[in-house]
Amino acid sequence: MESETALTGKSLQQGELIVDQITLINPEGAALEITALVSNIRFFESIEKYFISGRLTLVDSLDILKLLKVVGQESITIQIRARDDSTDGDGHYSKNENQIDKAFRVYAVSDEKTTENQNTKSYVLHFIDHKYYLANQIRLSKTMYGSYSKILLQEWKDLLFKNKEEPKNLTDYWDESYPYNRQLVCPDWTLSQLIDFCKIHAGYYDDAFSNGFFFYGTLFGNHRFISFDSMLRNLIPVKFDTRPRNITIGTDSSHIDAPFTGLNTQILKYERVQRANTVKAMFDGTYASNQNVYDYVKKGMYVVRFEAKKDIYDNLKEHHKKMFPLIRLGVPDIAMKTTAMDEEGNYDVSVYEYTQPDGALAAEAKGTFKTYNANLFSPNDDPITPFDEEGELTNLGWQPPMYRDDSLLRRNALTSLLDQYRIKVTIPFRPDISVGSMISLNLPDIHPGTSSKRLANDEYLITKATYDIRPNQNIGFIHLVCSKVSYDNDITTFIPEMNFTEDTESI
Amino acid sequence: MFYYGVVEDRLDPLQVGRVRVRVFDVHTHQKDHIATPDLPWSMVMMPTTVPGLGGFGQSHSLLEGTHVVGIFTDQEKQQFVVLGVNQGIASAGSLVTEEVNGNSKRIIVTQSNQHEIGFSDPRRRFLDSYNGKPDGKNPKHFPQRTFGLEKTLEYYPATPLSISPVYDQTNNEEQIRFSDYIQEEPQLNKETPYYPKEKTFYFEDADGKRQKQSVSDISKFSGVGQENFLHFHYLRGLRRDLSDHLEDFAKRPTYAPRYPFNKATYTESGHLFELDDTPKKERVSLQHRSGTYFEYHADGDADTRVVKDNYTAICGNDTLYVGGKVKIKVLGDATLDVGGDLKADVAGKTTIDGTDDITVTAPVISMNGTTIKLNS
Repeated sequence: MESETALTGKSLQQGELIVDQITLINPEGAALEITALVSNIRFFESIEKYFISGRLTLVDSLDILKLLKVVGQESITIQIRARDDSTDGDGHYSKNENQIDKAFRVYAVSDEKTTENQNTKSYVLHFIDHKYYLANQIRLSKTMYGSYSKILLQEWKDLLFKNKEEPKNLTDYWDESYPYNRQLVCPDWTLSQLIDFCKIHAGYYDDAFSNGFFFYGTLFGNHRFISFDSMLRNLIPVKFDTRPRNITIGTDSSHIDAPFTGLNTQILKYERVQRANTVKAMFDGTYASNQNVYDYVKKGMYVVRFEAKKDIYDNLKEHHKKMFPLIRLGVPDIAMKTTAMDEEGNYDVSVYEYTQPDGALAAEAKGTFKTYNANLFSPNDDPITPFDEEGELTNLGWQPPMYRDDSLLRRNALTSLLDQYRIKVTIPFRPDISVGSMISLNLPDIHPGTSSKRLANDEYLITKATYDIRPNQNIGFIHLVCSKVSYDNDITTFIPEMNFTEDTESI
Repeated sequence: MFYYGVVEDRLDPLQVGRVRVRVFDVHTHQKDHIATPDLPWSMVMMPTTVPGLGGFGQSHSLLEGTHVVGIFTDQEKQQFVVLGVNQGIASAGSLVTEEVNGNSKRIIVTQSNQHEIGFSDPRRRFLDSYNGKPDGKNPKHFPQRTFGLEKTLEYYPATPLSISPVYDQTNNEEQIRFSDYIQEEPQLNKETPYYPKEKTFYFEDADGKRQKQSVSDISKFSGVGQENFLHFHYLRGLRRDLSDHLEDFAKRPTYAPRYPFNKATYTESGHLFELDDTPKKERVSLQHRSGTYFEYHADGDADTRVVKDNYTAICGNDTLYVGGKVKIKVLGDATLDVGGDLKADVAGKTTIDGTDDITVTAPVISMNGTTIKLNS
């Protein structure tokens, strides 16, 4: 490998990086630097996965498996930095705080193959954040109280402090949830199960989707407990596009992050996986659903109804990100039948079927049946009502999980919304990408118009990321799965203009 | 999936029969993690013979310490429903294991430490005993919890230590007091009924053979050979008392309840209701904790005893038919206050023996007889 000094001033490759170390160490402390043996590393990051995992492929002539007695209990330290074209610091590589610098736990060895001459063998080491083991081994049977975000943070700290983890390595983003009066008698769950619970039930009364929290680990940073609203505000400043690049651009030419010309802002590959699936949306409760709740003390059943247009899109407040639904909501959901067109293109239209007169239930699903007892923990004679006179959620008394509002239905709608409009893109390796962020992707269109004339803007939410590192080439790629969570205009009033001239203002 | 647990609190503020249950495999025994007042209230499912509506029906008899079986109605395991009671032969002192600095430590639950450990009766003798404990207000592990256990053993029912009916109450100058015939356990000596508790005793069966019996959680009156048990003992004693005062009582039919034929209900203050189907010893008995009882025997005989005053009011007519003889023994005075006529039709001889004066007072005294003898 060339030294960093030698690289200074020379041309960059897309997604160029330097692997500082890949060191395998077994429980007895025997260590081996294996960077030269690794042909490929992949890291997997997702807003649905609590811990970063990955795998690396080794081409091994030393028989490390035997040398280090590899059985799935080893640790592996990986340090990787992206080249960022700066002249600061140690020259052209990301600062240390922007590097991948993590210790993982090897948990599996697979695909072991020996060459015909039996000189080398290849295999795949699977690794995962070592906290994964703790989170699935330690059980919690205790009384917890406060907001669900505080409950989770407390247990997260307790778990990791006990195991001598540095406090600074615990989290890098933590949203506070509401309300603050939750009590949970944790029923001998593992920490992972507690995360499952808190993630689903934590909410904020002013969040667009109410219970929109996600918990995940990031490759470049730490763990996050973040609301959907915060994700929408977390916009990666760099814009990406598919225009061709001159791959020999030097350091004196365009900045690597420059729009439409920068080396590392190019979309190398993209795939529009799905634009809509209203059948799935109907069964998933993306736009409408209801939940029946039986109060076994008051002996009453409550039907909680969720309608996305009324409950979310029409109620967005000023500080919410502007959002428009991905399908027509608020208009009659009708099926049309046309006559055959005549030679002049005229045809008659008749309404074939008129399913939902109010149009709000373009798709509908029923939520789970729940039981409910407002004063499950209370010593008071009267059941505590979780709502005040105006129907707002109150913050009185210690409360069990809430089922008498539509927060679970909203969360269900949110998670299924992320499955509706999905794209996959590949971009060069860079250190500022993480799931749970908004990314601007300028994908080619047949007839692109100005942004003001387009139904959808370029912003997508990153839901999954696979970091694909090739140490022997000093380059890497990031494969992203992104979701469109909102159009830029209201589809019911938007009039597409067939502007066939390419607009250059946006370039 | 069914779970087993132990009732630790039954003072439901809503008074709908809910109980706090510590569930095995879900809740720890460590009270500084989950104290009794932290536990959620669990509904108790009643049988279909209970209307559960508008005050009709019946209430359950769960106590602090009762082992129950039930299910969770939610995935989060916050809402437990008690489906039934688990009865067995409880061992003396349950063993729990807890992790202390990475090492397993075995703890034997005893009467002295049971309040500190879950899965047992948390009640204490004195109110200030809860202070600073996980079951008290604002405990260390949950300072924001402003409530805790607030009732001591004095608040709860208890069986009497002993019963001593006073059979001759004619010479008492003062009204007989409750404490004269029922002896309660002093508050200072009160201990929570320690569950689980093992008690093994020996008895002789009908053939005179020595048999071993363990006290089960089923009513103490449901099995043979359980005469040594305190409450059974005092019932037998009372029967002997009665035979001392009624000449024929010693010949009364005996009782011999045999498991599982005696369907008995025995409550925590000492009331007892038996529907005894034991062959040839069938009985129905209802006894108040004071010793007042009535009992129907296998041959149809009936006993009634009232340990203090008795009042009977019949608003309409009353007819009493006695096929045999009637014997009334009154230790004190007797008064017959008749508003209308008094008539006695006697087929045989009528004899009035008085050891003191007899006074007959009326405007007209008529005596009709073929022969009337005075001072004969």
